[in-house]
Amino acid sequence: MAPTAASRARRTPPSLGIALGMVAGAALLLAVTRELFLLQVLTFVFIFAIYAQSWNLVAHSGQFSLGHATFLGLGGYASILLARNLGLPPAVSLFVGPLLPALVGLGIGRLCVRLREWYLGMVTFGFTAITQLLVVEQFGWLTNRWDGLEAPRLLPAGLSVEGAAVGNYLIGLGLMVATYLAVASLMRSRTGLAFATIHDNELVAGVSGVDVRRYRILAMGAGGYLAGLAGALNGHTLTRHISPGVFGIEDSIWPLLYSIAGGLRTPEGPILGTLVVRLFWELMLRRLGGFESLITIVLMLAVIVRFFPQGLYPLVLRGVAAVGARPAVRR
Amino acid sequence: MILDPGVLLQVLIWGLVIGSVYMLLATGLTLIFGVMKVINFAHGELMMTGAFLTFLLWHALGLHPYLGVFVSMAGVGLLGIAVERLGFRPLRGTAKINEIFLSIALILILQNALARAFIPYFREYAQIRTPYAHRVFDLGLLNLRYDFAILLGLTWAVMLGLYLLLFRTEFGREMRGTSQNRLAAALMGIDVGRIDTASFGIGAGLAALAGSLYGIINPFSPYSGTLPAIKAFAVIILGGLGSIRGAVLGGLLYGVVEGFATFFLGGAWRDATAFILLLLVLLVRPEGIFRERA
Repeated sequence: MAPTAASRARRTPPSLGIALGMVAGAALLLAVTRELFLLQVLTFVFIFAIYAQSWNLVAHSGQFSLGHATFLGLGGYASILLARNLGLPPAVSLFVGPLLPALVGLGIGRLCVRLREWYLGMVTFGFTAITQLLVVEQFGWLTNRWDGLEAPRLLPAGLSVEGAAVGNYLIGLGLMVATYLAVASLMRSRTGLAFATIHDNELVAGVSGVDVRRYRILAMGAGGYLAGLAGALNGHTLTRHISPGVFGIEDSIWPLLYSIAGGLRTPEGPILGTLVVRLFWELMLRRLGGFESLITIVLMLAVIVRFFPQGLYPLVLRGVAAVGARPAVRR
Repeated sequence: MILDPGVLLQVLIWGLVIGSVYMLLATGLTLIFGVMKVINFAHGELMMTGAFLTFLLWHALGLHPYLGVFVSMAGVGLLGIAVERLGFRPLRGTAKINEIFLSIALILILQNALARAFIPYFREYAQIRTPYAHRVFDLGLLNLRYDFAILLGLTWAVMLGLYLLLFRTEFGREMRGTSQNRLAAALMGIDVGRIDTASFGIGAGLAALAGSLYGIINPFSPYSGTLPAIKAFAVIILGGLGSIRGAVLGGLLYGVVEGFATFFLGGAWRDATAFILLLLVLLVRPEGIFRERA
């Protein structure tokens, strides 16, 4: 029996404490080591945790998007183009750019408002391919087609390699924690309850006065913004480049895998999932090739789905409760 | 010049050939959905597995591609059966997200397994070359490639076989019954689990044929299946989920529209036009042109 929205809200531990814990942990790590590779992997984790958070928020409203790379890529392109062609500082375009995928999200939400489950999956799946086509062919004059665009760096030029890595790490961390707090409070608000009710039963939600249509579109729009933010951040910090390859299926699948691994429909799950899956991935890449690693990751997730259908986060909660350091699970 | 009937006929034939690929994919998808209420997102990857098998049989063992197709269909059919038995069967009755996860996970597994086997030996693209690659029938108005004629014949023979299986045998009756009402079918003593397995196997086999067909007319890579599969999704949405008639007509129609769009608007619009069609249908008639048969 799935927990109801209300009982779930009551059982979640205070998010501010968790946010402080994350910041403390990340700062501690920075104090201990400046290993560049590790910092880069973790920056990646922070950015893609925002991305997974976005997917999870949309899933929270009962919509499983299989085309999230559309938003990721559009956010990156919009921000990079704003910075390159209009001379906006990346620190500004980073937040303005994602308005484009947010709008697209509202559009997709409107278009798919009557679609559920497999239908919605198929259509969103197709949107990535459509967007890629549009970006490469119809907007090729703007996007430099398959070669893609160099992205202006977010940090001021002239920083040392280490300084830049630390800077990206901190920016990623800050935005991830901010996103986490925003999503956690959104999930606990009336809007979040409306999302959860729609997820549990759309008909019941409608009958009890929830404007299903409005909230579903809203979820897609918010998801579009957050995914776009992750895409823009990734472009301006880690990859420093964007190409139409970003609209691949794999990038649409990752946030789903991260969220499922960590725990669907909790604001902590996507972060935990991204961290665990990504660290596992990096460890595996040292022994296996890329193809084999990906297959192993998927099989590992299949095991998680089979034996821990709620993901890893409830295990962590239970672990914390069992240790009894502080009863995080309250009923 | 552009409206020369011979040229238009040529475009039509091309549309029908590529439409056959979509038709086979869509028929398999809709068959599986009808019975199991599951969309196999990895259908494009099963398709490429089929193409790759036919290619390997020809490349490594020298088997004639038009014989290899059948071996490949059987092989991928067995793979489909394994996927149903080991994957979807245990998830039946659990949360929908689990089935969606499995369906998506299969994409990554098959794609990477294929790429692992393919890329070190064949680099980026391969193509199946039949002995008739350069031969054409001269029909006056148009030149019909041997391969196109054989592929169309082969596809229709297989579709006829499927029709006979579904509408002229007891097993087909059970399959259609399960598709219409699973519970009632089970209560009538039909082994619905067996029907699931069979429909997934048949769907996978059809995908293998589609892939081999695709691999004969186009160069392919392990990643080539994605776009045709997305188009097949569009086709079954267009035709109504679960409707075989819709999948057949929708697939051919889609191929022909794509052929003419490419011809008149240029290659850049080849994939986009068809998607625009899908968006229109979604807006105007989200339940599809042919409704799911009750």
